[in-house]
This record gives sequence, C-alpha cells and structure tokens, in this order.
Amino acid sequence: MAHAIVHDEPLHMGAPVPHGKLAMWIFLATEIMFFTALIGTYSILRNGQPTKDEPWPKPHDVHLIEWVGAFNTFVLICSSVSVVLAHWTLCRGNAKQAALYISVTLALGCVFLGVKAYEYNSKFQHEIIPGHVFDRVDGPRGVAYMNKVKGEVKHLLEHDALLGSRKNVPLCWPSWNSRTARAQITPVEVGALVEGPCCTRNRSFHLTPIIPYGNLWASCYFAMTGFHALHVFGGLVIFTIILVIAARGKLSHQHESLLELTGLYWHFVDVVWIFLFPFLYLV
Amino acid sequence: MSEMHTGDYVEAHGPSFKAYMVVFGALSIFTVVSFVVNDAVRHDVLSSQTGFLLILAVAIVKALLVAIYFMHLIVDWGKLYYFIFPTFILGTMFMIVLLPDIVLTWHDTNPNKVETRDDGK
Repeated sequence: MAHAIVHDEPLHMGAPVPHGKLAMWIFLATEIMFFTALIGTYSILRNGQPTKDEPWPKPHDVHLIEWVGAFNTFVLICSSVSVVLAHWTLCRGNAKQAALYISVTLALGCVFLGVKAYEYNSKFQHEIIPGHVFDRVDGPRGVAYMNKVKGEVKHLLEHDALLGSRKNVPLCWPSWNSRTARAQITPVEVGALVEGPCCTRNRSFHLTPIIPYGNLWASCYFAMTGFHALHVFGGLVIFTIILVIAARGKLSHQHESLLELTGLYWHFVDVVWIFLFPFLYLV
Repeated sequence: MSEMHTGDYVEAHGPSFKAYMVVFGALSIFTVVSFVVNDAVRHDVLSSQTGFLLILAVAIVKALLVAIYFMHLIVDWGKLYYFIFPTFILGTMFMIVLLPDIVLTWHDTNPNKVETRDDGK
C-alpha cells in the first residue's frame, strides 16, 4: 500500500521551482549573455583582421604558459566537485563535513586567484598591458620602440661581460621594409637589425619584441580573465560567509538552498573558464 | 515508503556521489585531451582547423557535463528549459551574426590591403 501515499506539491502560480533557484538561473542567463558578448568580441577581433604576415599573438609571444592554464582549469574542476559534495553532505545532515568541503573550495579558489595573480605579474613585468605593447615599427610608436630597443642594447653592451670590448658601439636604425614592418619580429631579429654582429653573438638576449595586435590581445585577455577573476572573488566572499556560519555552529538543513545556489553560481564560473582556457591558451 | 523517500531525495538533491566522481574523472581526462590536441597541433600532427574543432568540442562536452550533473539540470531541466533554451539560442545566434564579418575578411584577398592601410595613416 506504500505506493498509495503520494505527497502532492501545493499548487501555486509561476515556475515549478523555488524562487531562489529561479532567480539564480535568471541571473546566470544574463551572465551567459555577458560572457558570450566578451567571447564573441574576442572571436571577431582575433579572426577579423590578423593576416599571415601579421598574425594574432600566440600564447608564447605574450608569455602565456599552457600548462599553467591547464592547472588552473583542473583547480576549478576540483573546486566544483568539492562544492557539489558540500551540498551533497549537507543534504544528508553532515554539516561538519560540508564545512570541510567548503573550506577546500575556498582554498582552491584562492589557488586559482594566486595563479592568476602570478600570470598578471608576468604580463606587467613584460609590459604586455593595453597601450604598452609595441605592435608596429612605423609612426610615433615605431620611434618609441626604436628608442627602447636602442636603450636595451646599450644596457647590454655596458653590463654584459661578454660584450665588454664592444662598448660605445654606435647603434643605427635599419631602413624597414614597409610591407614587413608590422610582421612578427622576434627579439633576436630585432637585435640583429639594430646592431647585427653584437646581438647574433649571444642569442640569450632579451629585447622587447614587436607583437602585432599585442595591445588588442592584452585588452581582450585582461577584460575576459579580469571579469572572470572578479566572479571567482565574489564566489569566495560567499563561501567565506558560509564558513563563518559554520564556525558559529549554525550551518544546518536551512542553509541547503543557500549552498545549492552558491554552487550553481560557482559551477557557472567553472563553465566560463572551461571556454576561456582553450580560447586564450590553446587554439 | 522508504523507496518513495529515496526517490524523492534523488529528485530533490541530484545525482549520486558515484556520479559526481565519474564526472570529475571525465572532466580531468577531457582537460588532458584538449592539452594533448593542442600539442599535436603545435607539432603539425593535426591541422589547426581540426585541432580547433576538437578542442571546442571537448570544451562543449565539459560544459555540458558540469551543467547536467553539477548544476543539476539532469533534475531541473524539465522545470527550467523554457528560459535556458532561449538563452542558448540567443547566445548561439549572437556568435553566428558575427561570423559574416570574419568570413568576409578571410575572403578579402585584395593585395593592396596593407599598402592602403599604411597610406591611410
């Protein structure tokens, strides 16, 4: 007779889901459109203008390391699992275990932001930030680039023991071919053009390279990863609040909904990164 | 009674612990796969177009796994499809309407393109 007992849900107006979950999904729908706009803009900038002579920067051109991005992807996947397990255990009445899983999620989120900070620091050190990348050698930026490379070569001549005998070598700026002027030029090639014999002797020189579309790349990179990192930070704030509730011993069944909605948000952040990782680091 | 409660519980709280672990393993493997495909493209084992399609497909599968299992759409899809589906249609359309601009640029084989831009400056 057990099958005869049926708990009919009370009828009410609106969608057949809790209001909080509905609100969260509506919020996520707006977020989907927001990140779609960012990725779409990136896609059109990346594929619209660059040519074979002037390609879009490859990850190594802009000091992006693929395995670091893959590591961060794995970190976010692990954090998604931990938050879903936190909800799973809380639903079974184990608040302490849930708090432990939330702590793990918080730690993994911090690791993600730490790695992101490391990457941002690398970008700042190499001046791969919007408006600072030398993406052409003609016009005013070309003159600025020439002066920068001259300064770098002069510094090398003055401080590199291997080049001690070549101090005060007059530097000359070569006549650029206008067709190849904006093409990808490696640091060694730049050095060879600016001060041939000196720079070809030691290929470990690091001179500022020309990176076609480097400023556009930097704008896209910081916009997409920056907004994503802000979302990660927002999630960490909520997890901290939940941990404070747990520390006061008040985490219980009544917080299932809060944890589920926070988890929904966190998984969405994970999904966004699942697309940002290949677009920025791989393809 | 107990069976009914268990059923209600799964209905309310989503997949099992084992399912979460299987999805976690799949996501980890797919991350490695996209990394390996990228390496194959770099070493000219795969063409860049094939590599792009494979990596994009892997990313879509990973996103679907997270949405279906971790975001509990396996349970909630029937209740939420009416606005999630239009969102994805609009998102996809947004990407598609940008394609003509990209494709027209690819077909613009005007040899004077570079000179015109430099002269314009």
